[in-house]
Amino acid sequence: MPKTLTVNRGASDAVRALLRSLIEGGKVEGVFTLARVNNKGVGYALIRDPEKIEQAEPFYPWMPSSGGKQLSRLVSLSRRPRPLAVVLRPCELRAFVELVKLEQCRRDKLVLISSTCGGVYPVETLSDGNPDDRVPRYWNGLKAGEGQPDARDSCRACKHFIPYNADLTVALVGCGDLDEKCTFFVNSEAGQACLEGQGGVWGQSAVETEATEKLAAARDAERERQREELHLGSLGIEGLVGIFGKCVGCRSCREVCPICYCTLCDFDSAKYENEPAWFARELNSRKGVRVPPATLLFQMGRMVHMSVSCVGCGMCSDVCPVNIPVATLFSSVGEANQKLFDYVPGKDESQKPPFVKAELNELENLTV
Amino acid sequence: MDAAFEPKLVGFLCRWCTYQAADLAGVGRSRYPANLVPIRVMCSGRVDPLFLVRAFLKGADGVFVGGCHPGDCHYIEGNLRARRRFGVVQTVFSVLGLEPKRLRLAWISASEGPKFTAQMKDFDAAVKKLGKNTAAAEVFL
Repeated sequence: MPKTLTVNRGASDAVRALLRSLIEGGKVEGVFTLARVNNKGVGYALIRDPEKIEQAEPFYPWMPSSGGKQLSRLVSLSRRPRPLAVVLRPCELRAFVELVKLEQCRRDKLVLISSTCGGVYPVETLSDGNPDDRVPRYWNGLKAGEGQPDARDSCRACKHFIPYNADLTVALVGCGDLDEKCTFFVNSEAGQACLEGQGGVWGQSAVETEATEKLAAARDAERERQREELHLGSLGIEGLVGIFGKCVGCRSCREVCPICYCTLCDFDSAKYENEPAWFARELNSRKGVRVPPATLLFQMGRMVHMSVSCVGCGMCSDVCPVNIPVATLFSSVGEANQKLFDYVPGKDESQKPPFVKAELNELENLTV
Repeated sequence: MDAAFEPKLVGFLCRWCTYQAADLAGVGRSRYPANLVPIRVMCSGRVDPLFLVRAFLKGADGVFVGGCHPGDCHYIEGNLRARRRFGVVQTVFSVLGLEPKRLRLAWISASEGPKFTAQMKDFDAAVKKLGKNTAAAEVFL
């Protein structure tokens, strides 16, 4: 069981205080967290000014972009001299670890702080009146160990809401005294070093509680329900065309996907700039062609390329302008593929991603 | 099942083994269904999973990948990587209800001409049973 430090402050305040002390004590070069930008909206920011830490909203219940992806762009492959403190949600952290394993960024010199997660609201609700009106409801839900009925689909169906690989884990789900107390779980030496000199009561306990187990069960049931609703197993070509037929080809799902890291996507390459002769051929064989073409090819192409690493963060569904349940489809496909290789993306840092290696004796039932 | 249905098969054949087995089958006058469009690749590991999806959406009734037996790859482990990728494509097909049996992976060495013939006959028959790929006539892909 990990060591814990309980401080007499609300969770957000406690994390802000910790971040502030890390900067003031010179332990970190800066802090990466969600923050209010000039009090207009919330976005990821890299902060060094201790005064600006007051604007940090580490657990604001929206995900304007995958923090894992944003962080990976800041900590590319060259070494940094001094550490950064980082606050991420569990799925963002998994995405980040997955990107480390895919050699897109470095894990070292980072203090990773995460929390048990109650999910987030769809990003479009940020512009529904005043988003802050939803925040108290969110925190009340957390205290009761419940998710929000209007949270994102993928959050309501997420079973990985206890972070892996965090140096410090903040307990939120099912903590009734969130407003007065905050408990940090220490998972590494780096996490321990951060907490040195912080006031509070040391103890020892497990992150998993009755409340987290209850939430996990509720989410398992919701995940099954969502998949049944899509009738996945009987989709076939007709079903897929039904679902993806309204795709406008904006490629936003790919842009926000933390796993789609290629700077030049195959689907942006010249081979998809179809010439008149191509259309003529399609007209001959199919007697018609959808414009823009290759929607299903794009979606299935993304599935075969990245679904083994899909962390199910739900950004893709969140940004889809025509409300295609992209995340539910991708996480279902992803989970099946991950099962094939006994792999959980972003969980075990030492386990190589499935496409990076291959074994001599495996998957023998695939060949005939 | 339409008795006159002749499936369209696309095969990605490794240049070091299955493609040579196809040659050997030809030299040995061993007949295999003429429905196969063979595509020579330098290694089954060259087969991007997207190739399979693309061939399928283009209307191929069956897509075949032929590589060297495990341990025999000219590039050490290209075929093993191909197997992983193939597994992913087949899983995607299974989850989405897309008849994973339309995809087939087989190890056929350069000396196994008769095995190539047998495989092709068997695959052709299996795809015939499945019938036409509905993606072939679908306009709104």
